[in-house]
Amino acid sequence: MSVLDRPRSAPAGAGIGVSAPRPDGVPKVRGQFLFSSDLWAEGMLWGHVLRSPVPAARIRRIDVAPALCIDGVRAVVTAADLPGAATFGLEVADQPVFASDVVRYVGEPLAAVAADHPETARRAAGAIVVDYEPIEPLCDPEMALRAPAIHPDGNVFRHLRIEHGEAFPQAAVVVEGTYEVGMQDQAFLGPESGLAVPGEDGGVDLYIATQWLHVDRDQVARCLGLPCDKVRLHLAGVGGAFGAREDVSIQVHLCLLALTTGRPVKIVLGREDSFFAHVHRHPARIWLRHHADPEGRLLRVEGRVVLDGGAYASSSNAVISNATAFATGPYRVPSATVEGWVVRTNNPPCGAMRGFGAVQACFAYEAQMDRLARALAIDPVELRLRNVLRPGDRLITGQRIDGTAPVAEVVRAAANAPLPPGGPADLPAIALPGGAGRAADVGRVRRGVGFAVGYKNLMYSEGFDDSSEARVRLELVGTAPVATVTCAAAEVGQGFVTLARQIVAEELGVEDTVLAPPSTATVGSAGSTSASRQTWMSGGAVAEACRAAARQLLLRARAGNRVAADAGLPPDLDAAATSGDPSGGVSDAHALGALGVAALAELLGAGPVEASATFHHRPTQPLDSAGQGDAHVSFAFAAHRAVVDVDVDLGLVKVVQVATAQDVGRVLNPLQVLGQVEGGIAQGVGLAVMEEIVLDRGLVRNPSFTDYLLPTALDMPEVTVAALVEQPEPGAPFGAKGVGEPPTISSTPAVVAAIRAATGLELDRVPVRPADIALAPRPAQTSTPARADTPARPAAPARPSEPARPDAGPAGPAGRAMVPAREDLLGLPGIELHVHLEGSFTPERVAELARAAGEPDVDRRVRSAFAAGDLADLLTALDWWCGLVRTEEQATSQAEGFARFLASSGVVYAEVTVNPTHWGGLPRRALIDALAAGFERATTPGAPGALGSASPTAPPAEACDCRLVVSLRRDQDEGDIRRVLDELGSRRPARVVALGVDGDERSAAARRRVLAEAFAEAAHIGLGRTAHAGESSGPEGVLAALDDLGVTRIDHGVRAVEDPSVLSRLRDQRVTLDVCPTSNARLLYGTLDRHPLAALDAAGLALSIGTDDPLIFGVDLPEELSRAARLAAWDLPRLRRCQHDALDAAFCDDATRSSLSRRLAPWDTSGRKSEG
Amino acid sequence: MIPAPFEYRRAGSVEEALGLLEEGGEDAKLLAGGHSLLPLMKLRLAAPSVLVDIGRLRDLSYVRDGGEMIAIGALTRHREVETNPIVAEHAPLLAHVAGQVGDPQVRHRGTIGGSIAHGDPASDLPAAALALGATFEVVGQGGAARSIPAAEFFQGFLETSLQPGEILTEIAVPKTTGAGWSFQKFNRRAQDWAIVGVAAVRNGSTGIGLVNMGSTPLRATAVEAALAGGASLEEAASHAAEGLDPPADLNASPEYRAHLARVLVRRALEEASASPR
Repeated sequence: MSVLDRPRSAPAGAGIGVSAPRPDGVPKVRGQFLFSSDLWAEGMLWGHVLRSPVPAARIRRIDVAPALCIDGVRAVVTAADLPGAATFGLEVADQPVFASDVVRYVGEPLAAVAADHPETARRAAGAIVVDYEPIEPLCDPEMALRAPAIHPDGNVFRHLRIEHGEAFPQAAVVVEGTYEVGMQDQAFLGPESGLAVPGEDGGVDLYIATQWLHVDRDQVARCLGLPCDKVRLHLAGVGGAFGAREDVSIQVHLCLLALTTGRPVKIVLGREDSFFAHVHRHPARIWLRHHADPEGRLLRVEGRVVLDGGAYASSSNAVISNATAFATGPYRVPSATVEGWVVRTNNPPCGAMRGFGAVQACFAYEAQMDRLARALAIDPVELRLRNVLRPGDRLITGQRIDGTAPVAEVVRAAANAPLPPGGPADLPAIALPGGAGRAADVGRVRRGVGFAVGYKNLMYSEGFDDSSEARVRLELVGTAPVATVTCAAAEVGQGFVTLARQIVAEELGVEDTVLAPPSTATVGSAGSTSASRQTWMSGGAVAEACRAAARQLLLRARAGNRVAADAGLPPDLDAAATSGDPSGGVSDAHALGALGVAALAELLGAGPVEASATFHHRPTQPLDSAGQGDAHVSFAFAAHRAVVDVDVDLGLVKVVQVATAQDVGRVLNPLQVLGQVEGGIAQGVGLAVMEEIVLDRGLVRNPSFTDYLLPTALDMPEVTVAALVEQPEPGAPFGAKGVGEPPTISSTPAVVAAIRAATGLELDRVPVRPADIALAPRPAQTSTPARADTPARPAAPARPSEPARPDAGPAGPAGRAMVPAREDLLGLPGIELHVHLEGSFTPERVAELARAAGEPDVDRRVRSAFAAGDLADLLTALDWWCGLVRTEEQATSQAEGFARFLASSGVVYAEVTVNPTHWGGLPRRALIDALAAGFERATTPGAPGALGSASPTAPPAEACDCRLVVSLRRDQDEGDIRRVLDELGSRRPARVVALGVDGDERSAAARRRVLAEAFAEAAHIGLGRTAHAGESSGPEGVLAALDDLGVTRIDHGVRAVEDPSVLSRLRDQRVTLDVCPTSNARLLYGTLDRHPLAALDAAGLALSIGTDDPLIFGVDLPEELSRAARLAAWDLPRLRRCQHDALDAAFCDDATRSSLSRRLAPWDTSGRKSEG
Repeated sequence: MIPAPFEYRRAGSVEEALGLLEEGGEDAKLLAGGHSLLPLMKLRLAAPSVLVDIGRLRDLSYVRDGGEMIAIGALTRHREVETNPIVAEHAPLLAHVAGQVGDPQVRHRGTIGGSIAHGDPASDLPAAALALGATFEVVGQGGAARSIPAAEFFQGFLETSLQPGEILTEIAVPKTTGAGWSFQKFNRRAQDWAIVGVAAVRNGSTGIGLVNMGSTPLRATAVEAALAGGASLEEAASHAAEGLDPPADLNASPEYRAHLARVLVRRALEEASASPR
């Protein structure tokens, strides 16, 4: 018999293991339950919070006078009125209660109003005048890593790096991918609301829906400048939480208004304000590379996790810890390097949401496991079973799993659950995608099955002692014993109110249990209702308090000689009753139970007993600098198998069934476990296909339940609970693990895997939108894939001799090369950072200029110049032909022609290096201005310039936005260098964005001080910094560029590969190498196949690809990219990452960057630019 | 979610409603079932100074067999249109579409006249009325009556050819007894507005109405013309978005809407042609 078949209802007073009814269930269904929005007090005022409509601005002035003039307004408060700390925060107090000088996200509070009527308060808030000076918002988390800080604490909340295991043997197969998770909202139904009542002692009582009364209290007291005992928080009815009530939202505002007015103040947020008032799930971008042996056993995983933390810290530090530590999944991974960043942006703050970092990681690692399964043609369930963690295994954080870990069990059970009978053709129209709208065509509906398994930690981690206190009082009411439990655990719907009663019944046999209202005034902290922890922690505290009360009663029994031998008490009662150890306690409780209720009542006749207990989990430790440590208390696992039907023409998905198995330790209340499983799957399905807060430059586009799509009951799949695996967890009260979060973790990747199986698409971002499916270029549909494990058709390599990775993602159109060829890349919006204007000359152009300059022997000298065999020869040749440019018009037309050439090969943004020392025929300033004018001219329509079009097959060219990098020559005269910097500092010429340095790197040593000063000056005047290094110099040249010049990118840098420590520096500092494979092959390595691009890639460096001197080497960017792809066996997604790396490293302004990022976006989601 | 203050007047007859409208002037609005107007007022996208409630004018709630057509009173609830046997027999498309509006609670409150007069391009019933070639009966000040063909009724975003002071009283729907029909309503989430919808009826000629493909409910005139010119269903459907300027929103780009229109029009035509039902 399954645990779910146990009785669905049980009498009040039933112990653990039965589906005891929840005391708040019927009142909630009947609308009688009092939620925090129902709070009311005599004479209360209504509050309203004014929030910022802009994501980033300096505040010049806030004028509250117009609000105060409105009839019925009782108070307006701003940051200036705060008696205590100006900021709050769960881990770091970095978030202002009210913004005063700067706003950092849309919805940030600026002021609060109290008035007689909610409408008056709303109007008054609208009357407050705020003078904003807008700032360009920082919205791209990758950019935040290098952008100027938008907060005094900097842009990086936390960076951690996990290094685990030793070097690994050669892998048979390598798969990699980049995955993205959108911003999900907890979407609880009861918006933030509360009531603050000023106390006669100068303190305040706050009735509030929250997850953690005591930590709210501490933050509120600090901001009010009051001692903690003068701020009393009481739990009001909570309408759902899911992490969104872990942070302070309106708490301080309410208390401040109440203290200011001397009257009770209530705030109830509307839905739109609610979206702005709480944190959301962190959007994530996760890159993973898995190495495995031929049997699919994992050898090594490399990863990079970037979470967008939004404007303030909230619980970001803990979320990134989870996302990074769990990035390899519940698998044995002998070697791993995973780096995690969580950064500050001008997006809404992100923090806790059910699954807490594990959700984002699971979407990425489970997609990788499916890719690996396809690459090896191994069944995906079998592949997982070959790798699953078992008890005693070590995680990549070095922690040994010393509790239960039934991973194989949950995988097998979920995989073996019965599939829904039949197929889409057997379903009524209303059950097809689109439901009652009857838009689906059953002939175009494909069924797919997908699988995923995930895990996360229970309780708080990394050294935090999130203990819980409970007090149990036993007394007679009439003739019946009644227990009163006092515990501050917040009931947010999870069911602690039911379990507390079941535990008392189990421990003491008392049927009638009253739960005192949770409050900071009556009991110590219970910790947060989050991290799947209240059953374990507060359940444990209640159980221990029961046992302590039992001990007191037994002592009373012994003292009063009331214990009859036939009551069945142990003979060693005396010892048991005085024993302090927990095992003795258990026997006390059982001994008391054996007495029976009548005896209990008799004992209580002498007066009540009361006992308290504080429950601690075992200690944990923070992760060390290598990301190692016993950071977690315990882990819970769950597996999901999803079945979907997809109308491939419409892109509509119907999730038909989700089967699941979960590691629960022990089932304490089957119905409540089922509720958590179904609710978690609803949120997982939502993230898979519907739920996303859509942001546009920091603005929230959909702050309503009309536009933020939550699945309805009709959108929910059938949920099949294949197994609740009961292996009691050592150390857990009753052996029970928390069950709240695991259902959300792997349900999302299972659904997306099923959609991939149905459509053959990659789908590396959630939520999957219908247009992602309907408008994606798709392999010809042949038949319905029956299983998720349909192996990909092996793709033919581009050329027979080239290295190829088996993984090409889902099969592309037959015959399409896996390694992209140049033709595949025409139209990819090109970003090029390493290209020289000196390399923009064709032989014909040089000959033309030479004749115009009256040079002798033109043809021979041109031939000789273009045959340059090494760098020194090339530099000499450059001097000659650049020197032939004698007029500004010649320079302008050279620049214009080059910009049009770049545009014709698809480059939309280029930073073109010009070294004025080569251009002897024009004064430096005239030259730079003339070149900028040429770039400008190329942005207007016109005939191709002198260089002609690179390719007759190229699509019609869009203009290329060219910027200038003014480069010094390494051996340039010191005074001359100073003059260059003076000129750039006194009047920034148009289009100049950076300072560079090139020339023969071997002459560098003597120039270090001069160049260092020049680059320091460049930084001072706001120029970007780049340098040629690691080409003619070795790794030491690269180091010198980093140390002396402070560059953020390096031109070439390829010889860094000769020194692993230099590679680490580059990787850790996120310095981008701008690599030009063809140039390096010609001038450095002799042949392309000796180029170290693959090794640089394996070292995890940010790489951009450039052409260096395209007209000299006869390449353009698409060609160079395709050569890079062949060289390093890169697929299109990896090439796209080069373009993103280039964009991240570009020295343009954020507006240009985000506009370019949008142009790359269609390539990110579909692989090729979506048509239409 | 609280509307701006307004004055509420309840009318006991059409004549009284006309009087109250005139009295209320420019800012007066008629309230019927309230399922289009009230959400706009709560979002403060509409702030009428006077609401004239005509919701209790029972004599505007009826379905009558009028020979060549059926006559439906403007205050007939969606639920009645959905279940009325006369509508089911002679305008089965309309009965089905009425059953697609919102959820049962909405359908028991909302009225066909309110939905038509609101003129929302994302509403289902206006598109069905277009496909069926319905005519709208209107009375104005002093009892002046006029008939407006559906094709001339929808003028702009939430804008119709109703003049201030006029009341829509009846929807006259030509019978399409036994004709083939189809309604394709595409949404991502159950019971939502259509992201794109297509109503089609084939009764000798073909009428096609489009939901949410422009600033008004639309007729797919290019498809209808192609069919009249002898094009195949598939060929005709490829014209579904021709000449249209579909809106961009969070649910769909104009390109995706155009794609959906082509797919759904083809499916609607195929279903409507498969069998007279």
